[in-house]
Amino acid sequence: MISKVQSAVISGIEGQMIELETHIANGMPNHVIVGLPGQVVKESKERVKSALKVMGIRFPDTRITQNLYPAYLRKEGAHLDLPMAVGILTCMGRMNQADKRFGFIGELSLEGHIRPIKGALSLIEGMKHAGITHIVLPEGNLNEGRYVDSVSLYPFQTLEAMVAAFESDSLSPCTPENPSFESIIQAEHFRDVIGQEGAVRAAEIAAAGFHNILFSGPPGSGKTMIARRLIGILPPPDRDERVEIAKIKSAFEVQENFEYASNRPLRAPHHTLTRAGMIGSLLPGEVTRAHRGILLLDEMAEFRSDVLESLREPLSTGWVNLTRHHHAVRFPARFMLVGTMNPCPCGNYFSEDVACTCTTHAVKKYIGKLSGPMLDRFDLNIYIDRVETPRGARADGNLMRLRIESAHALRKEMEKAGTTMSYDPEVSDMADRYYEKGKFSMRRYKKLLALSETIALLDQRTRVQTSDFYEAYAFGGQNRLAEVK
Amino acid sequence: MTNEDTKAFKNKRAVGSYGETLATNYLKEKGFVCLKRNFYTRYGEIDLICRKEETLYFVEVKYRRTLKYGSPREAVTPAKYKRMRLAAGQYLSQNNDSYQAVRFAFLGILERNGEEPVYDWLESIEF
Repeated sequence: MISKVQSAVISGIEGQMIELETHIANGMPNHVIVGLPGQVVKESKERVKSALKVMGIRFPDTRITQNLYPAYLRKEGAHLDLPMAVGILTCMGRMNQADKRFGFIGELSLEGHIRPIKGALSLIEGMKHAGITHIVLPEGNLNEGRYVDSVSLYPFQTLEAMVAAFESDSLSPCTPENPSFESIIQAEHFRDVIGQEGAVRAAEIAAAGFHNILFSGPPGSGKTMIARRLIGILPPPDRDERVEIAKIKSAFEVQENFEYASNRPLRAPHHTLTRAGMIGSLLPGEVTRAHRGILLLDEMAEFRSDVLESLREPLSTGWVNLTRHHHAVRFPARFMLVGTMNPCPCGNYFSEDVACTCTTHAVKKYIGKLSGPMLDRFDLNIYIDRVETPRGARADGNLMRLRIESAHALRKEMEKAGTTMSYDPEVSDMADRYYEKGKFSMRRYKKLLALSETIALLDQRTRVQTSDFYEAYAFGGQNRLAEVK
Repeated sequence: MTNEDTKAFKNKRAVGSYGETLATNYLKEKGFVCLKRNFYTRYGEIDLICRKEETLYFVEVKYRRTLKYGSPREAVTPAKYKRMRLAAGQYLSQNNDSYQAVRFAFLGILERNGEEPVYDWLESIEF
């Protein structure tokens, strides 16, 4: 007899439906799993065997063949334990063949407990897309499941309870409470910033429009401090963005008390990161984990230059396309890039107070680690010097956040209405004149206009004035680092 | 060997030998002709070699009197099967009879205390 069970696996970060066929034939005791199973899936058989024994079911001492369809797709993940157990139980006649609309995910313990798994959200979504609307899942993943619309969820803690429910017709979906979409505000942290009004203003503009920003300056001037606080003033993610953020998060960790992604992610990888770690290989890389949030590259010049250059495509397209095993995967990677660096090895090259001790060659070499095209991708280039007085005014994060949220709301409103920003005629003239003087690239030209728009929106205007363009030019027009080169 | 056993055996080999006798009788009834018992080589051994019509069978016999240590089937491992194949090759090169086919078979015998033996015959095994 052959039984069929539906489940899903993760491909990229999306779930994809798979079908598990089980065949029990007379022969020497042997359990074969075919259909490109990963190491974890191969090990499943031991957990399944033990879980069945605990239930008092004699594991068949015959030949069991389990096939995972489609065969070309690599299957990884311990969440296939439960479908494999169901397949064998059905084949043995201990369970009725489950309806086509049922999908199973869950990891088994040797005692037969159904344990929570990674990536439940993507798996459930993947099954939903394939028309599987009734999902049996570990109780620990119930919180995750309730964020997927129009599916019925059947959470269980043990295999025994699940089989009993299926056999006694007492199966009924659980009705989880509605998910909340509260977000946690951490804007207060900006109070720690003293002085540095220019950099704080630049941070506000960057956050309001998701503009990439590079802070450079001598050591101890507050580059990293401001960069890290940016996450607290970003506009809160909307519902769809939250789903995307949560899916990526869920692919990496088991979250028993799944809290919805109330905030955007901040990823600050160490500078020894490899290219695979940055853009991803088998698993999504840092750029994907920073999706809809911030990728902070602290001490940017210390990163390997090939790693930095690999950022160029995701920065312009918002995606990472990779090909493995004749199979293309696409990871989302729409993030805001925030970099900090010293302008030279000693850090004081542009400083007004401290003399730089580096040779010209050393300075050029240091800045040269960031290529021209890379520098061109930063919308704002901010130089931060030492603060004049340690008792200056503190930044007001809550006020910043308020302005940013209003600007964001205004932008969303315009997007909905299908209107675009308008320009004072002088602004366009000025921008064209600057461009014709050969001061910057076409990309920079566009970035400056985008910056001007963000600045206007922060002022609750939908019309760009000359003052907006001046400010944009001050923050993003010139690049002192590029001039050294 | 536990106290509850009624049949007394001197040693493990005697148990195996008894099991093989049961096996031979069982297979004879099924129309097999037994050619050799306990064929040993340096690579492995075969408990029973028999033929039926034009097919040669290399049979692994497992005799059990309790399920405490698993079923007879579970006692045959891929490694054991590999040794059987090596020994079978040896046998074929030493004997010049002709056959249409060669098979590896398994015969499990479960003889619980005071009960009739239960036979578990698998015509063809593979791993």
